[in-house]
Amino acid sequence: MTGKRQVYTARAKQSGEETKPRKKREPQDSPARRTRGATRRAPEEKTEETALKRAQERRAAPAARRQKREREKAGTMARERKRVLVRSGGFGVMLIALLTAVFDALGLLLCAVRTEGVLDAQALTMIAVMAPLALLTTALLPRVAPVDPLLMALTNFLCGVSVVILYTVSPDRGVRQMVFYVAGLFVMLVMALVVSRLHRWHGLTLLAMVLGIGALILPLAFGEWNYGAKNWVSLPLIGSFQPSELVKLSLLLALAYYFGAHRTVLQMMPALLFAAACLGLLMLQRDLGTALIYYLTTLALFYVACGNMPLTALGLGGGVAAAVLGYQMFAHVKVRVAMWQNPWSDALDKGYQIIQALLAIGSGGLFGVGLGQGTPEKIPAYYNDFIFAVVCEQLGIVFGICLIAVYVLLVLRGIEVSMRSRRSFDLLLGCGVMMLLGVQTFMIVAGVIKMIPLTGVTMPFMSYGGSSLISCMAMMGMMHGISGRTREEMEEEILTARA
Amino acid sequence: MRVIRRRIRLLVMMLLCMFALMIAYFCYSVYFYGGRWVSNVHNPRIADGKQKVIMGTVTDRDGTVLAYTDEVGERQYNSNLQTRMAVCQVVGDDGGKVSTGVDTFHAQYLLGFKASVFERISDAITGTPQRGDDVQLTISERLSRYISEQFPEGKRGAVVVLNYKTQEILAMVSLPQFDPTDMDDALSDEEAGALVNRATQGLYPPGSTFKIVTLASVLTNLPDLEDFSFDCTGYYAVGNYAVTDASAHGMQTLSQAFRNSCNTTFAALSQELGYEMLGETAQRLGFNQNFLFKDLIVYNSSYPIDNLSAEDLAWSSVGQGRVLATPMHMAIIASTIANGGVMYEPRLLKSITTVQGGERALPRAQEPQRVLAQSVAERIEEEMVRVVTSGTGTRAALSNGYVVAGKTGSAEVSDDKSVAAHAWFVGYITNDNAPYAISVLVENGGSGGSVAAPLARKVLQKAINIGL
Repeated sequence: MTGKRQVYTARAKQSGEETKPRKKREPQDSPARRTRGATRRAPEEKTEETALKRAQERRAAPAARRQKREREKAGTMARERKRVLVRSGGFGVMLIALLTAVFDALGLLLCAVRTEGVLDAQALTMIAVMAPLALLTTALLPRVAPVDPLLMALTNFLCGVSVVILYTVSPDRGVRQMVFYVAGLFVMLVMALVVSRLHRWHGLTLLAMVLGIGALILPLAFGEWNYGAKNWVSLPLIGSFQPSELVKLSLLLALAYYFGAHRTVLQMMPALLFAAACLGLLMLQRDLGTALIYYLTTLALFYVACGNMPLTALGLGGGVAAAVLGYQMFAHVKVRVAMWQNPWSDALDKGYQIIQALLAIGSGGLFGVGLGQGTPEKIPAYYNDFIFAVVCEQLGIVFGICLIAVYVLLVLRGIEVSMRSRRSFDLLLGCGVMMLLGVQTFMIVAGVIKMIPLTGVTMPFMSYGGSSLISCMAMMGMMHGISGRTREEMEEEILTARA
Repeated sequence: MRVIRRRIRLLVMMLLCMFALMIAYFCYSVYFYGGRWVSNVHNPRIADGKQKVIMGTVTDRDGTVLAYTDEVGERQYNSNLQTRMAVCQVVGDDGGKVSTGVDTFHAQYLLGFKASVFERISDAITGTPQRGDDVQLTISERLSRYISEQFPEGKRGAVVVLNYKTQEILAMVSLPQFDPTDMDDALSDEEAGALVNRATQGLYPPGSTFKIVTLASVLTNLPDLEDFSFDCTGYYAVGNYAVTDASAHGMQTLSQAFRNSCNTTFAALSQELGYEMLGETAQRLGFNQNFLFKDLIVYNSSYPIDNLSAEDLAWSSVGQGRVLATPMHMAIIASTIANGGVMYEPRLLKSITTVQGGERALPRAQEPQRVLAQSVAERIEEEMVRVVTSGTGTRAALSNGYVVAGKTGSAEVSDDKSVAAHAWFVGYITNDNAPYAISVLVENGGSGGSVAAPLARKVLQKAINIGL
């Protein structure tokens, strides 16, 4: 039964196009659907209660009727399953997965035969990992776990590009990035299962908040200054990592939990205080880019949850004031702004990085100098903050714009997934994840192309680094979990409606 | 929930707008600056490229080779020293010391960065070593050499000759010059500034040649002032200071004031115009504009628009004070008048030939812009012709029916000890069969009428003789 149920879940996880005809059909099928529609408008907690009550009623129904219903269910499920088999994942999604696999395979193959007469076995091994992973996670994973195929395919694409590009420039980093990617997939799965199954979040949220504050204190206590910030810490067993990346998850959880269940500003306080504490610690770490991401995410979710325009404006004003203060206080912020206005004024020192990035982008031209060609390693920090410039040099500006488009698509799909959710917790969590990723992508890409001052945050999925990639994959896990739970709830609704 | 969804939609729309803006900005900056990024002297890829790629040949408009790469991969320049030096700043050098030279600025062609995927693949298959495109420039080596010879001995300065019909730069000469085959010598005396192309990078007060702009502003904004007359006493008090002339011109009409280059009259006119109108005309004519020409780098000319004082405005109107322009910009203004008020982008690239022998498309110039009304431009031409027939610029006049329109300038520059004047002449031949615009600047040369104008006449005569 559970097996069938999962298959059914997978079927329900198809894109919106399939839910539409179903919606049209349902009102004719059952008048019960209409009454449910009415209850759905009631506050969220009530819906949960009614759902529970209904489940109890179902269990209490006479055995004969239940059997009959089960038979019917099995029949519908068989039919649905047939449709799933025909249209697994959807054509577009499979196309993206296929493209990703081909890109990974060809790119790494090129690296493998790069040196004449020597076949790079490492690259070949990587093909054997990357290409099947791209296909399997998109085609099979959604059938056995709560995973949204389109989100999965887009994530795979971004990670694949990252691994290939990093491998061409610096093979060691490419290999490690692949390891992080695989680890990230597991983290994603775990997160997806937790989010889709867990119903009581109170304890976990509290734990995440405590751990989050603790993690942010770590670098201040044990970290070392580098690039004007103190945001890395090295721990035994785990190795060195960036806590501010992982605490993003705590922040999202806290915001979604306290903003989702409560309506007044006072009740939202725990999350706001937590966010403020994070911001303070990040300021102390001088990790202003990440602080900006935290701040914008909090502000966005605050507005979404309570819609209190005056307070949001106040928060915005506070942020602007803090930014001005930060500009006055921190010398390196002033340098960043000056180098944004005119990097050529100090082309060999302070403006070197951004200028080298622009030169790399320009040298690549529309279609790039070719994978593995060019000299992107001239850009300091090419492998994390400036990976976008490397992509543009090697694969061209057109590809760079397509990459931005992929991020936009990812955000849109994520928002679509969360919009369909039935609980405000899911809705806010999904929206928070997508806002965070969107803002972060914007900040770094716009920084690299000198549209805004450089903020030194990582490019989600693309930048080299375990903390960043795993945190992004965990966020995607949240999205998958939300989509999984929504599907399950929808399915339950349909079944009850049919019954 | 519904209201939450609505707010989320709003936020997503904002995020999408940001991304759209980012892509638009990206396209814009790549389109306008992409070429400059590639050819920047800080780009390590150019030096790298030179190791791997055979750099293309640079020729002048007649096909004379100015720079080429020999069999052992060394960059060589024209064998004649005079030619080498006459075009040195335009062509540039191997080490990228002249950042605006063709060897650096157009390295993306010369090093084959613009080669398409197919060309690269065909190169790889046929096994030919990678070779960059050949670039033909619009400049004439003969005219450039002639200008270098005729330029006042020991003086610094620049001469620009444009064809105002085709927008081709026929000559762009800057003095002092250096020999690109002997860079040690050039670098040992960097103080002299031979590595700077004064025609495009030198910012000078335009002096009285700026009266073309002031006149344009008067004719555009205050047409009633046609019959204006002013009694020049050689002294015009404005604010706490005064604008002076070398001598009193007496009663001056607008036309006479332009012909005699009367500062006081123009200072008085500037007070009528006000800083806004004059500033607007100056900016329309390219002052304070970022010239993003595709073929060459021209530094921005500046005109003060901050309305500092009436006195500042008065000095600005006669091209002194804080007004600065490059000789190239003044040549562009002359050719704008010649074209009836339409401003074009000057071109330096005549053709680009690929290794396979095909022609590569030239970068597209900006759309021509009408910056002055036809009637205004015609009136200015009339006045400029009078300057040469009976004004300060008589020594620029050509014989054989060629009519020259022009304006002289003696821009005063003061350093601590002395007050010297940069000699200017800006003008063009009005005849259709010799559409040449010229801008001459001799640093500390003295009066424009006696130093720059005769040089302009010689250069224009030579251009006619060569028949460019």
